[in-house]
Amino acid sequence: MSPAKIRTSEELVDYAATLDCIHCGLCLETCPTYQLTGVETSSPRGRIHLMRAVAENNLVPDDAYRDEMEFCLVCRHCESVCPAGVRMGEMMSVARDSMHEDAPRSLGVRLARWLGFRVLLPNRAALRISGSLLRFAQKSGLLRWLAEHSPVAREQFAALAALPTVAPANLRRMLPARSPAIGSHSSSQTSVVSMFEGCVMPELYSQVNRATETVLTRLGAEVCTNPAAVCCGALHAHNGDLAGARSLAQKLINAYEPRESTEDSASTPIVVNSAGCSAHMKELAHLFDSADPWHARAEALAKRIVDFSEYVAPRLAEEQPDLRLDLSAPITWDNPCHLCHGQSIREQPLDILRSIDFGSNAFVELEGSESCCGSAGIYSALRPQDSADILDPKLDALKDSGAKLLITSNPGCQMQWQSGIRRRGLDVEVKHLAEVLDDALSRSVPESELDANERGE
Amino acid sequence: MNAKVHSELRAIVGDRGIVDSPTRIVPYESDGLAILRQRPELVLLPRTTEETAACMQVLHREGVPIVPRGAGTGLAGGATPVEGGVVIGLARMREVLELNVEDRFARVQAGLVNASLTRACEKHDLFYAPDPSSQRACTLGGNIAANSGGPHCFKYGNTTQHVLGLVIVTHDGEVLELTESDVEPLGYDLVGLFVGSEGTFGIATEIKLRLVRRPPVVETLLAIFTDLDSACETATKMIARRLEPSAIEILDKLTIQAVEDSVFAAGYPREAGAVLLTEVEGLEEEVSATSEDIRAIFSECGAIEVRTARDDAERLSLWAGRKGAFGAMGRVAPDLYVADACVPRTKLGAMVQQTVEIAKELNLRLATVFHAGDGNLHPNICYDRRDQDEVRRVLEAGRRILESCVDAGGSLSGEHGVGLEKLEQMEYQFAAEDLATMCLVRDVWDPDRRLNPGKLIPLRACMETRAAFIGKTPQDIAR
Amino acid sequence: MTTGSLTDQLATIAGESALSTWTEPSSARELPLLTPPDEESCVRALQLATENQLALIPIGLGGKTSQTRAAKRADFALSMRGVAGVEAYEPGDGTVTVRAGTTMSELQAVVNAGGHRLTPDVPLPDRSTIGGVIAAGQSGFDRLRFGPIRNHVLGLRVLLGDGTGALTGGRLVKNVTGYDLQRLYAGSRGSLCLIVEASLRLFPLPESELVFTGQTPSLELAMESLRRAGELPLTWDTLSIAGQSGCYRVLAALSGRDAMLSSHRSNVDACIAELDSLQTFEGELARTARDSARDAELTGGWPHLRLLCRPSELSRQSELIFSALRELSESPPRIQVHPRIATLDLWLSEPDATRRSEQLIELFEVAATHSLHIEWLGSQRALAQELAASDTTTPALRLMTKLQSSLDPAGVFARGRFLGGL
Repeated sequence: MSPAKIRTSEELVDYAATLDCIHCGLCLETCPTYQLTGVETSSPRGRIHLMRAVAENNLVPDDAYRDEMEFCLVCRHCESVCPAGVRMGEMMSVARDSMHEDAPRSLGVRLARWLGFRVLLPNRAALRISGSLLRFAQKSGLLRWLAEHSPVAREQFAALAALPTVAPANLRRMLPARSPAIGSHSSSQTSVVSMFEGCVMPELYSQVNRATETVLTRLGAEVCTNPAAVCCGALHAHNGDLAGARSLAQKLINAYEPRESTEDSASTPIVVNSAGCSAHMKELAHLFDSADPWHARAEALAKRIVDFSEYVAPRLAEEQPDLRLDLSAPITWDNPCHLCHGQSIREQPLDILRSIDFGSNAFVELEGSESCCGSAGIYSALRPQDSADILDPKLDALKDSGAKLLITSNPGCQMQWQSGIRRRGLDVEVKHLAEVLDDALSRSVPESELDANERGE
Repeated sequence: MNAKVHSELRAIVGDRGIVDSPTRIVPYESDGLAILRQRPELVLLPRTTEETAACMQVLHREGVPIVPRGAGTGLAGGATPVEGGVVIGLARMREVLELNVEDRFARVQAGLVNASLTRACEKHDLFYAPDPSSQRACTLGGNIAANSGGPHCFKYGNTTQHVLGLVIVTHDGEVLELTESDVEPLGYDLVGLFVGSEGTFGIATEIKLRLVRRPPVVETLLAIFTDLDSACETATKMIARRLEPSAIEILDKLTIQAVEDSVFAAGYPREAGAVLLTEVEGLEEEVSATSEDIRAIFSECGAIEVRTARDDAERLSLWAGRKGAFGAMGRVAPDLYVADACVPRTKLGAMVQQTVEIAKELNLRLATVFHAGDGNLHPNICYDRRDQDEVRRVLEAGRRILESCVDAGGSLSGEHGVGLEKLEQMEYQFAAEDLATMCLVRDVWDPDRRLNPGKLIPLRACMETRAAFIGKTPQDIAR
Repeated sequence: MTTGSLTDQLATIAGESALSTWTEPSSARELPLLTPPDEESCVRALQLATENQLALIPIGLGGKTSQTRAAKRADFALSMRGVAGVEAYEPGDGTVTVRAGTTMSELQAVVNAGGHRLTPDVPLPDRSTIGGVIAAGQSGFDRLRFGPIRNHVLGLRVLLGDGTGALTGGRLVKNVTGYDLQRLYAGSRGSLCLIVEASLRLFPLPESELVFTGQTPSLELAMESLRRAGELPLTWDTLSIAGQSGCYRVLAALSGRDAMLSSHRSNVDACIAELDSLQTFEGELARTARDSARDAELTGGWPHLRLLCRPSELSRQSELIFSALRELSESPPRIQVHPRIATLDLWLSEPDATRRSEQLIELFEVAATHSLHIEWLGSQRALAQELAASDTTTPALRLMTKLQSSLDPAGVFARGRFLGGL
């Protein structure tokens, strides 16, 4: 590693951004860590206050400072209510990145970060192998043993043990390079979309990717996948590895830039079913200085990124298929932070759910459905106790809602809910929005197909 | 305080109830008035009345000054800590203790956020009326201390008209129930006296508040003007004609632009010189009659357009824009000085004009957004606290604005309180005898002058010179 | 100082003509009464009292002093009636500043002419001064709409015991500068200071008024009718019941925009339809009906007892009082109820003073066992000691006593007239 360039105190944080905060406090109530502790330091306003103090040489970053920065979930709920438009997510990336250089972590942590961020996430082969290893460790009980007996990282092993059981390899296949549209559609021509498969999605939630693909094809899209696109780097950016995030962003931009060998054209939408990734990919340009040519290329890519719900909702509205899904109990929706706060996507998922007739089991609202579940990327692994504490009030709300099926649209949230529900012993299933829509679509015969059948007779 | 006292306090409030790391304590160095900063020695965050009392007993024994703090959204430096003092924060006391729908009151812990109370009772068609713009963050305990207002206090009155009772912890840690009969005070109205005492009488830990029925019909009107003067003239006429909307607010051009750039963009027209936001509540017939009268004044005063909120969503958005205005000014400059003076409503236009002139003279950027119906001005000066000369000019403008309001028969504060910010001007508004009387009363509640010392009343105005903690002046601390 | 030299001294302040006598109702004690013609004379009277360690009773026209207890010691009374007149009335601002001795009817006439309405609407406004009303913390017949008077006192100018003038609040409808000492002074029964000038918030005169009246032998039906009326989404001025066993008069008063009143009239009629002798008054007649019901509150003197509670508990608590009374007395009391404010005023019919005192004491015992909150507003001396003993449990009394001795260390304002010896 090259020696880090010595930064001035102003460069340790996004100083200019801290000046946008006028200290009004409207963010306080939205902040999960402030809600948990009541300590102002653990609020957006408090953290910005610390950052500004660092920049203005009124505070030397120490362990307490770093801990407060890491305590933040980067859920960006505060951004949704900030009248001054403070971009907390970006500010956190900068602050955490400098902390990384500022105070080198222990050897073990550095090794784990290197393995995770630089070896595992960007590399499809490594991800595939890890999926199989994880499945083995889960099935054999090794993880549970480690969670209890390991000399180090017991909490982290426990977190791994709480992950959903990895499916067998045959169910974890990557999607085909190209899947044709199904049926005929009211829109005059079938569209081509590129679907982003993600890094851990194929290993942990391959069924979600399949459901996403099916939904898209049923709605008349021809779905292509891009094997060169692996990890978007969101986790890196959020966790103080801006260099790693930049290099992954460049890979991603390269992978999707239109060229003869790929299906991508400059207008092909890229559908992303993980809210954390779609939010990050829409903001890739922030990683590069505006003079950097990569900045413009990142912006070009960002224009093509659409979240699953964002792509699907208008098409469903156009097609108006007769969707029915009889469930035995009420369902509810929990909006991932990076969908509602990161991308201001609120109505589209609800529109999708409203288009499905759930029989007598209506949709129930989840109190605080826009507040963070505590998953926050790898937060649940880094700070398992805080993460569980943040989820607690949401589990109470889930219980109160009476829902037996919770729908979300981000793999981290899905995992977090699943492990929390298991811990509480609740009887609630957690599904991705795509899975539910896939179920509904497959159970109702689209009118167009019906027409085709009739014509066939 | 020595380590032993720290651990004694830690034992009372628990690990999560004490902030003593020199780093973690930094954000407590100011409230919403960030120009004044002073790091406290310790922050305590008790969860109950009992914990608060236990802390106060220890601090009384040790003779430590105490600064109470709600959410730290106050704009007058009422929660600015004192050197070597302890901040007692209410942020972890946020339970609704009782909700009585039939008799329309609630008992809450003092750290409950204002808007949470309305959220807790809205399904019963009730609400808590005082609605400071920071209502989504500020605590009810803080509202008690400041006797907070808000746009709808034009109709419903400041906080004090809504407080039915209090449980307070006194300077020496005694728990005193001031919860009176539901109708009249027993003896002196200590509750009324306590409200607005800015933390100098004790710490309120439990509050009994009146809830109000939702009006059946609400009509929200937005009148658009080419200039600020006409908007002020409209408000003055509305008062003179004795119309009774529930709120009359005015936003000037710079404020409109900042709001429209923010997440609270409410559709205020950017090109307008000013907008007047008003709301009429009640039964359908009275709402339409009053709204008709108001529209007549709008057209008399040259409103170029009048919009009516079509539904609740639009109404809420118009209000969210108004209430986000302070924060939105962050887009204009790093810091904002919010003045808060009141004048008789016949003098609105003249005073607003004067504030504009003062700002111009001192070369400062002024944005005005205010509760016109109450004559409560909020001239907001955008500045950068890193610019020492600008800070000086801001303080100078603040002083001149306040003094000219007092000269016009007005007062220093309509809802934010005196705090540290307006300490100097207290002597401008009140005679020595008036202040001395206030001191007498203060000394009854806090004989050692340890509660929020150096705030609200300038110490030298007091007749007696007892041993007391001498607070710093705003200028000292700003330096 | 002998009585003779005291009257001589008092005469030096504003001449013989400002001097008369006055009898304290609760003690039947006759005192010299000084009615200073101006504030300056008030200051001198207070200085005189301070220098000679005298205690005085501040009054307006003295009407409400029958509500207060007998002073422990009193040397003379001081009426503010001479310090009267409107200092400033700003119709465009809806505020008025008035000297304490102005009567409520004088004040009302001034502000009505400017299109404003004065609250509180007290009984016999020509016999009450604004200073007296504020000092007594007296609520009006319009309390349901406007709340207690302390909400509308914007500022007060007072004289402390040694004659020092002190201002609190201001003339503004919204103002939080300094402590709200006006809230401390309002309702302090002249035990802290002498109110010389008050600023008040005014309200618009309504476009029109409607008064509904009816009768019924059943108190239950009367309460139920008003409960229903109270549930309507209307802002009521008054909902009240007055009467005695066998005949209760119900009154419901509304004011506001014409259109609103005429369209909701039938809804109110439906709520009170079961009452007898229903009548609805409009315009001038409505005002007369309301005023006479308001003034009737005072016939027979001040209420002796007032039960204060929550609206939801009024029925149960008043039933407890009634059953206690049935055991004590032969005839049921005359009552006045404001169900939505939740007050019940009782006038006992027992003519014999000693027997009445016994009844009251027993009644207070019943109240104490059920933790009812009863205030005694009568003036029997025998009762005073008994009740003063029960006051000491009042929370925060210690603090109140300290406030008093801090603001009036010399005891210029006669003590013992208010709660707990204040």
